[in-house]
Amino acid sequence: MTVYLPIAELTVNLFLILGIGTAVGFISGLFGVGGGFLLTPLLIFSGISPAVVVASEASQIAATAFSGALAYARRSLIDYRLGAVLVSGGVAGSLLGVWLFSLLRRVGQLDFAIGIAYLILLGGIGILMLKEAVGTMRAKLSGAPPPALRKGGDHGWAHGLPFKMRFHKSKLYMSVLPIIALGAAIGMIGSVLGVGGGFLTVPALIYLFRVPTTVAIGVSLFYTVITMSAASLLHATTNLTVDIVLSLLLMIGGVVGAQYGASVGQQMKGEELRALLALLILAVAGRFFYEFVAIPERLYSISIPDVWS
Amino acid sequence: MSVPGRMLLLGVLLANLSLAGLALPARAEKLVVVLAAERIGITSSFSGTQVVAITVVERDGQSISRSGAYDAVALIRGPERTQVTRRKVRWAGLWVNGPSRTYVGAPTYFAAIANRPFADIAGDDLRAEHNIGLDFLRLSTRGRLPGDVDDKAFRDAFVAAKRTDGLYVESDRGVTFINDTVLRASFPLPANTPVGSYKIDVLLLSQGAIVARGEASIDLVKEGFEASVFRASREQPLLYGLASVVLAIAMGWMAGIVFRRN
Repeated sequence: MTVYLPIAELTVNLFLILGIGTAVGFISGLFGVGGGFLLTPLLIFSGISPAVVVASEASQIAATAFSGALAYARRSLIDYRLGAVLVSGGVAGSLLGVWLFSLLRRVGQLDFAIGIAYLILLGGIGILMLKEAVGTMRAKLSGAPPPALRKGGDHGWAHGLPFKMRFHKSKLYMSVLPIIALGAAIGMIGSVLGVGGGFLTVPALIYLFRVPTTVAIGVSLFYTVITMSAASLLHATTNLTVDIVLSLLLMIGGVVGAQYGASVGQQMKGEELRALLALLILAVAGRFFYEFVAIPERLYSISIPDVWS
Repeated sequence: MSVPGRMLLLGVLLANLSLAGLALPARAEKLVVVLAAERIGITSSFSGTQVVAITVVERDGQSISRSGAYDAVALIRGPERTQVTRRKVRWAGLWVNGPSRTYVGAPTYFAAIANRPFADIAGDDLRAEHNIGLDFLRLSTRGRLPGDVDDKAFRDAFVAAKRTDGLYVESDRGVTFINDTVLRASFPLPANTPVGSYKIDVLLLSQGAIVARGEASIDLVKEGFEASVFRASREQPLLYGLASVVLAIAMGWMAGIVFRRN
């Protein structure tokens, strides 16, 4: 069964798109990430133009993040204050990212930039996560207590910076500047790569700012809902590339898959989950690496610049 | 047409000429191109289509006799857009996009179809003049390439990539003569073909020269729900964007409720 995507102007297999949405939703529910880092390459691979993919999946990511954020809000695990500071940086970063996106598209290096960014980000994070998860597993096997993430009396590296603020839920008293900078960096990366950035936000909050894991996930979900809604609106009004039919199909698959992923995830150990996610991230990074070094199948590519203007 | 028939036509022609005192007209045939529909609606199940154009050769009394049968070529051009071809080059061990060639106003879709091999129908000069065949499709370029880059390689790659996508078509069997004066041209529009106006140009040839031309056009338009969505995204982008956000929030909220009860 096929369905015509009115903005992408292309006919796709309905079950393929639903399947991709469900699979990515399952993974995002399992690991508590948005899944954009998987969705973008998969959809581009199924023939939809990158501009439409990045714009349309923003609302899908917002939908999945919102259903997750609701669950965290009920258990009052969202630090709205930290989220708001993060979002303020994220908005600036997103605007910069949209500008960078169109610049790279003009000079014809968008594919390269997206590929390299994925390779470095995913490769780096995958290796770090795998190391940490394997370390924890080993420590547990040998009976030693797992290394604590937060040591008593440790105020972190950003202690000397001005504009300090207290974040009760995150058990944090620190300068807002590094938080705004983190929000801006993730906002920029997110709008260029079409990802929510959860796979960056959560580890950054945990490892850099020492925010408790559950609160870090809650803040990340809140941040993702706001920035991805803004991104969706921005793409719809500037690039005119949001395909709402594609978004809807991805959402249906995504929210269903996410629920099953979450229930499977609850039966697994944290370090096992992290190790699996690390392997998955490394696999995606490996695919990008392969594309860069292998002799291309098609040496030439065609693009239609500014189709929508 | 039988030989006596031709003689009769010639006779009528000569009679007409002598009556009107006119010079022999260069083209005495007229082509009427008929399509089953002048627009194709794209709905949610659109998966490409085959378009058939019937062409009738009308001869008036002045038609001169042709020795040998007619040939026919149909050229179909989709909406024109500027398209860029890029070549990947190896840079520090990685494959990156290198030199590019910009084709200004190149057809997004192009089909050249005929009743037999193009080379047998027309000479290279005529083919070049009328874009008969993919090798002879005129593509205007912009910008200059460094001296060592082969222009033809880019052109060939562009055409080959479009052929792979089913957007450039060439066939020497796409046109068939149903009888001496009725011909049928059939060309495929793939699922990824762009919306817009498609111009169909039918050329009737005899002994390597064009004796008549006919034109028609067919519009590929979005219909129903797809059309409304597309219009909304263009005419009310802010509302459209808000709708996508509201949809996301509603879906997320619904998922939260439905699955919590389970």
